[in-house]
Amino acid sequence: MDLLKWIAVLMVLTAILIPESAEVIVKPIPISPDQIANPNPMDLYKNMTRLIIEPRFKHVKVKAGEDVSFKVKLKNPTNKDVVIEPKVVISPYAERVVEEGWISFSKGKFVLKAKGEETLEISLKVPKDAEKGGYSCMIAFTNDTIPTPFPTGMPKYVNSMDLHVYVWIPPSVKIYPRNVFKYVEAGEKYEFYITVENIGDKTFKLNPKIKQEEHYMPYVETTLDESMVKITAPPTIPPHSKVKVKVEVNVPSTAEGSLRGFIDLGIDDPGLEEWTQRISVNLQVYEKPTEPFVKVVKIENASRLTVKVSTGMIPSEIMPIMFGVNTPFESKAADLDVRLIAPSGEVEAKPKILERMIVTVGKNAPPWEEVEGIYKVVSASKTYTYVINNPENGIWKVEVMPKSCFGFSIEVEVE
Amino acid sequence: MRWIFVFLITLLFLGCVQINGTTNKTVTPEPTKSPKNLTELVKENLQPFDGFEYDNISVKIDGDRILVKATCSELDGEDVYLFAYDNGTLTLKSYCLEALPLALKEKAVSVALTNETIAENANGIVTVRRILPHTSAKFYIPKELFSVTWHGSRIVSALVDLEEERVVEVYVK
Repeated sequence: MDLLKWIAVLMVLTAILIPESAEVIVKPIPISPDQIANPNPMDLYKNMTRLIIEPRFKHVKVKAGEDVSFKVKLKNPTNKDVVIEPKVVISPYAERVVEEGWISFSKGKFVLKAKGEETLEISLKVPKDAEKGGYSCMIAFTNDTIPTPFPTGMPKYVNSMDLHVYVWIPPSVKIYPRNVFKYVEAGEKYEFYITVENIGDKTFKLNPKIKQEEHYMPYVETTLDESMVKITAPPTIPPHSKVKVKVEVNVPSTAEGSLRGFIDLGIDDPGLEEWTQRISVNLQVYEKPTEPFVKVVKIENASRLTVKVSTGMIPSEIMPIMFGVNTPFESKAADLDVRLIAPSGEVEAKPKILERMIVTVGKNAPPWEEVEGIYKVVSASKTYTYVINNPENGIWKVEVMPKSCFGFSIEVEVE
Repeated sequence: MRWIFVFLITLLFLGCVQINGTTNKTVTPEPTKSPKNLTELVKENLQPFDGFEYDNISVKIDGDRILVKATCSELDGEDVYLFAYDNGTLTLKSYCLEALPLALKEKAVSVALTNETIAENANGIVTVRRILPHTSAKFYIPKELFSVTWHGSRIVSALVDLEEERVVEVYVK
């Protein structure tokens, strides 16, 4: 009974002390001006489930009228089930869009279990009348969005992937070579050919023109123009045929360094891009010496004079030095003229000729070169050795005139 | 069961299955060929670069070994093929295809040098060789690739996919 008495007393006191409506006073948490201006972006994701989507970006190259499919893996790393409802979302600002009707999904609305994963097949069917070019869209898998600031204006789907489709037309015309690289001499004439092959069933027009590079290239001294280049070509390329485009170049006598430009073939094949019918022309001007190199040798009571002139490892076509690595291509044995001139006149001496070659065989090749049983000469050099016994005293001259090489080495031994 | 066994034996005889595990490219089985026909068959099976045509082809038949050297005036370098002709079957045993546009060789070298290992070790004479799809399939995918190899104190090579402009395999020995 005592206990009941005490409970009653407590109830009366409570009723007296606590007012009718209880008010909870919460002290404000100060927010810095930075937090107002730059809210934590992660707060935006608080109430949504974020999925792992592989891939997040897909690029597809497909012909008009063709269909293609690809797989997308959806993983749910959370502890709650998520409703997946794939749909195509189109940006109002995109110029060319992947229409909703182009896309179909192997599954419509379904539940992706907590910690579960699902692979979805997305099929793309491009209409026959689709124009060549790039198309894009977003594929959203849930309706979770976050706002994006101006000027995008459209919400960002959190669980989505970007799809880029490139609709292309296979070219009917094949062009080769696409690049022309030549060493040329100032004041000389050169010609080369470009082969244009039509493997299609339609006749295409051909209207080649020389054009200058659009970008400023500070290291190019001269650009090729119509005054230096004459192009001759038939006006059309009949179906299933090859034509030759003849390019004649008159290198100006004042030319130095590089002569660059490109030939726009002007072919009306819709499968060709503007840049795929450009032939890059890169002519490197070099000056061939007109006078021989002269090495002077003083002879005083010598018993023997030995002169070795070698084309060495210097190739007939020098590759540009790229990234600091000297990369000469297949060295062919180059040639040169050597004259030995004694104080009393030219000496007729028959040189001993030494040829050196570097030959590769299958055993030394990387595994993807199936060259077993095939010898290949990767470099060659020639050394001319002249020996003059009891050379006359006085000043000798060794004259070397390179014929088909860009350099040589010379050794003189006096005994 | 018996029919499966017969089918497998037939496949083996037709050459569809290679017992020795090599990946040599085997060409359509033909009845015994005269040297003239064999030369024609060999020429039909040459694979010049990207639509080019060979101007000069030399075919040397030495027993069952056929060595072919081919050049094209528009291309830099020479293509060499080694075929074996055995029991009516022409097989490409090995090849070394260097007849390529000089500009393509330059590009292949510059792509190869984008690889750090290659850039650090490249030294000496460089060769650029075309790798046919049946070989590429063993290292990457069945497409035409290019082998850029430096023959210096070491053999340093990059297998280059020029379409993708990337090095797909590296070899340093």
